Amino acid sequence: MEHDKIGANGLPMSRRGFMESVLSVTALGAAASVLPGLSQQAWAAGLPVKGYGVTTAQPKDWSRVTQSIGIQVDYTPTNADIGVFMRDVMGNDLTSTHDVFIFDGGTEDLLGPEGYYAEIDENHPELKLWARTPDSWKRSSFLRADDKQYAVPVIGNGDAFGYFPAAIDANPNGLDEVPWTTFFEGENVKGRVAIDRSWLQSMAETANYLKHHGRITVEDPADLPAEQARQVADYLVERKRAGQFRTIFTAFEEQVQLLSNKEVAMINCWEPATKEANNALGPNSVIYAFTVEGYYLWGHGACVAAAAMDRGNVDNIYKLLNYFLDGEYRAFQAKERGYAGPNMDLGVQYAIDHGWSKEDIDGLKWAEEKVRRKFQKPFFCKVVPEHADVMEEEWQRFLNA
Amino acid sequence: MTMQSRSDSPALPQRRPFAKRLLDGLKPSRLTVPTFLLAWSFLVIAPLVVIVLFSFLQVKAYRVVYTPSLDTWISLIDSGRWMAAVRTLRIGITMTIIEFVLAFPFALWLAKGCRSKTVKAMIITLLTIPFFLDAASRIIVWRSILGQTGAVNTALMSLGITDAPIDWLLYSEFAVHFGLLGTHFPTMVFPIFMSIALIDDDYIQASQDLGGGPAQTLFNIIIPMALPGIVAGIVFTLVPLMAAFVEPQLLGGGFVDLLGNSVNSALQQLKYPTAAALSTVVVALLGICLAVLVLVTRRRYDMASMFVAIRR
Amino acid sequence: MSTMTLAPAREDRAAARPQGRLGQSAGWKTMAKAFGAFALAMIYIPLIWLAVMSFAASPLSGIPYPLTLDNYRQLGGDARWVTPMQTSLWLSALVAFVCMVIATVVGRAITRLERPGGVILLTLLPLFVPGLTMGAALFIFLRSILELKLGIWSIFLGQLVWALPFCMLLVLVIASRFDLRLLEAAEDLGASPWRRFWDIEMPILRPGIFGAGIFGFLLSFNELPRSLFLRGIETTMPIYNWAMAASQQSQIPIIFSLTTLLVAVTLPVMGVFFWFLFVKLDKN
Repeated sequence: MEHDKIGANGLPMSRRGFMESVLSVTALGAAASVLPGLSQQAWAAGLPVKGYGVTTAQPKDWSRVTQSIGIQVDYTPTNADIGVFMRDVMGNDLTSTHDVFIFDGGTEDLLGPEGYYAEIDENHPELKLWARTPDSWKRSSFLRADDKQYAVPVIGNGDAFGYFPAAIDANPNGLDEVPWTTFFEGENVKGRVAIDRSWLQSMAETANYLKHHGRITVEDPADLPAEQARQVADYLVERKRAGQFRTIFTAFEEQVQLLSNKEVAMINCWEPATKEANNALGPNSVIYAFTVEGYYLWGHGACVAAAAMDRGNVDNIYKLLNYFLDGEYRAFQAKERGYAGPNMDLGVQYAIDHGWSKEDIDGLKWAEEKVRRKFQKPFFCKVVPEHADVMEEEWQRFLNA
Repeated sequence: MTMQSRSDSPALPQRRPFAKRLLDGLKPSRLTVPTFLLAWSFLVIAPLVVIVLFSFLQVKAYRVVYTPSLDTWISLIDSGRWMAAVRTLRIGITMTIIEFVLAFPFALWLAKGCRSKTVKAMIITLLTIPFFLDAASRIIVWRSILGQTGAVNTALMSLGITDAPIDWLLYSEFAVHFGLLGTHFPTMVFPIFMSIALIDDDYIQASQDLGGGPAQTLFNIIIPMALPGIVAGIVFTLVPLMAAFVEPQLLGGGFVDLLGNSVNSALQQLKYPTAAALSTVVVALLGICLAVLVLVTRRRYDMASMFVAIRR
Repeated sequence: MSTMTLAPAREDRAAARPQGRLGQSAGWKTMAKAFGAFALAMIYIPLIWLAVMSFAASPLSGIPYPLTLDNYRQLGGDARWVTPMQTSLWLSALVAFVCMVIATVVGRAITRLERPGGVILLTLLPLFVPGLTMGAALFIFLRSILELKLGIWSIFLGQLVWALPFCMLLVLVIASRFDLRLLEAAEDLGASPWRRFWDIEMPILRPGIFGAGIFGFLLSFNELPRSLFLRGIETTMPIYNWAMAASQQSQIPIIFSLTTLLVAVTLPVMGVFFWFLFVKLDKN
């Protein structure tokens, strides 16, 4: 289909178009080939890139990537469970077999200096789009450690909460800023608030809220030393006892269900959950908030295993890293999940070139505008906080209270 | 080969195929149990010993710190984690009792009361199927039935029984118990059914002929003979209940923090010591329960020889 | 209720059917059936609801309308779950088979011990350890201490440690009702050890052994916590679902329709299997 488009528009054959035709020829050859080993090599130029990471970064189908840049990707999926990820990279020695790791940015704080990840070679010839990628994305702290670049940005968002505008008398167009005060203390949503069981997110958001209103003094809301962690947990226990929370949720499906059943009025969920809920309830029933106090910024980074730099597949690895910065990946991620990332303009261009509907293109533009607006507020996030152990213990106290 | 077989088993037809002689080796040998225990110790006991030793270490930033300390054990108390262990045991035991009360009569009927073998086969099939299915998708469905806008509350309100939706139907201990009920029923039924099915009808007949009433037959014949199955049923039910994870999460709304969730949270920070200490507490608690069970029933039933084959 | 029906029922039942002896009263039977029906309803109400919602446009909303086949189309269009499903199927079959063999061989031997208590407790020990902890213990032991490369084999071991105690108990329940004098008699008549096992013990142990196989398969098929630690980079069906749960895209359409299909397939297969076991094989 994409072939036809390019042909019909009479555009000159792009690099991608060329790769596609080369591929269709080699694919035919591969199908005819009897030797499986041979066909594997013929199918993609060079070795497949082996990836390990979260499913959020996954396109619906990796063959789209193969068609686009001629690289076969062999991806082992995992959950967003930091313990499992750390165990696999450090304990299971995955760097000896896998080339690229994609996880919530922050793992490089530990795995970079420890020598599991290689520094990104910013001048690699295949990393064509690096120079044009804005610093607000590529220099984010969750991609760097010790002033060294360990990751390429993949996707990201500023997380806040979803809400029903009618429940809090807010502007139904969803463009106004809603304070976290409503979430934690609003009488009109009392007993109708759901809070995420992930303490990385919920404790950081609470700490930022308390910090903003001058109720605690803390440098980084996402990394709480023992004393501050205790203060935050105390506050949450008090709110829990006051009956502010209807439930403490875990899974994505729970978020969708809580919203689409209108079981809660506010929830610090992920943005795609509001998208799913609106599919059932009608557009703009649930709003994903712009907030007063700031956002929990997360972003996935693609890191390269240090050992992979000696395995002779570096060009393909960097081709894949470059793909994450390019328009096709950006456009599909924004369309399928509503997530932004660097170089959204390329995504918009891709959508226009490939004849996407006006609605879809407007969606991409809105995703960019939304993130630009959020970037003006304070941010906090750390996947591997230094004080993780005390924070986890304090969070248990909240759960058991 | 043939020579050997002749000398080995003179009473049998000569030239027995090699495969059959090999199969003869299947007879219970004195070595079977020790061999098994050796392999089992390597596969189960050794790892468990290692992880219990880990509970005296600490983990900082995903790394084990090899300095022995009691910090992990102290933090079990400070963080209230031990409460999760006790709560889990309480819910586990309550549910096991409920399941037993429901399952024993049903298993008895299935084994001795149900005359149609086809019906029996059908019921067993129905009890087996749920195991194939992803627990989360089965349980999440209850939420749209028990929720504030769910089927139950809608029905109650439209019938005028209540004015406002009943809150405690969901996100409460009630909801967790409710969700656990279906999941753990089959594991209680199966072993009890199997052991009752094995009781010869002649015994029951004899009890009746000797003038024993239904209650006497039940307590003097059926329960003692079905005891291995009952114990197996209790173990089959209580043990998975201790690890219940999905139901408290999806139906308890995070307010019913059970052991499985607590261990999971610890392991997300690779806190092996905490997981180990918490699990040690559970094994100890279960051990105490088991010991109490044995002591209480000792007078009536001999647990020790329960699993010994009949000799005399 | 039980006392009311006691008297008239006694006569004819006792005369007609020996297995009706226990229940001269229909009362307890009604109660037993009611309990069973209640529990089965608790299992099947969500399943039926789930099957209905698999045809709904938004399965989590609780409203089945409008009806659609979209979820099934999505399932058909997504091939990623197929390989994990295949892995799970053959792995579970293997676990089931190995459990059957070990449980039979060792279970029989245990019932012949004078004091089996200690051995049984040791065998059952892994049941009492929470799954994640057992997984972590095996991971530390196999990976950190023995420095082995994990893969399907370690998932297999983890699941074996989980399923075998259950299977062993099932065989023990049956084997402990076995009368050893039957074997002595057969030996006196000159039967070989194999014939003694196959012709005398096996028919009696069969429900336990098949039960062990079924339980082994089912426990392995849905096993997640141990597999999570021991997977290496392999993916079974539960691991796949676990990983996809974090993909921030609803998996429910796919999972609901897959579950419905699974019920549609396993229900007749297991039905025929049990019918064969209870009606065909059970001639005595």
